Amino acid sequence: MIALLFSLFFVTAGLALRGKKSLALAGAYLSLFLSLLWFFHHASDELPILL
Amino acid sequence: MHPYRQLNALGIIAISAMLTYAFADQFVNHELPCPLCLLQRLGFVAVSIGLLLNVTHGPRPSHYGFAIAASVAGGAMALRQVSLHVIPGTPGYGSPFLGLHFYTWAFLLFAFMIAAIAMISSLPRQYDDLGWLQWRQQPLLCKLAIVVIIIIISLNALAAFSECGPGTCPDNPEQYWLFQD
Repeated sequence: MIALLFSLFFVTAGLALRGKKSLALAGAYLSLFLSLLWFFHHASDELPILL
Repeated sequence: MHPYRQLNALGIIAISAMLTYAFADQFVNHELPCPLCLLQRLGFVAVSIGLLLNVTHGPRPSHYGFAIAASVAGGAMALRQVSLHVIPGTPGYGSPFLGLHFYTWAFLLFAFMIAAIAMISSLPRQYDDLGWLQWRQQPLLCKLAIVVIIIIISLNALAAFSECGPGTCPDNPEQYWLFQD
């Protein structure tokens, strides 16, 4: 999944380089949003280290 | 020419250098990054995308805004990992660098980037530099930054896939998913 998120940012960088500003900015926010969703998934893991 | 684009290019190169060091630590010291470590790398890549938009399309408040949003997200990810190891006697994850663990450095750097980007974005003259520049029109420093960040993102994608595969990364990874027995 994290590889997919890196790939999304890679595509976003490609869009920026090709002059597609609006698409690149939308892609960047989408990638960041999905990264945050994945972060919340990991952040809600059980934490045996704290128990 | 285009001094603020070059300033953003320097920012991209600095982030790339940081990610390269983390990458070197992964392969030279054989320390596999945990899921939160990988997410912090994603945060740095996201900040560099905001700076890359400034390089390719000229500085804009919307690009700086995205870079700050990405810094806040990355800082939250780093702070989460700091909170996991903050209790006295709790072992940290990975080897320390200059006395601090990578996730502590990451939090400090995200906090620094929020302040630095906010200050640089308040300089008004840069917003006169309009429009998308084709590859051949870019200054040399900007070309270097573009090539370096593209390589760094690609390598991180490949490394993350080899470590975690298509699913969830283990909390304490000990071997690469791609090369497991």
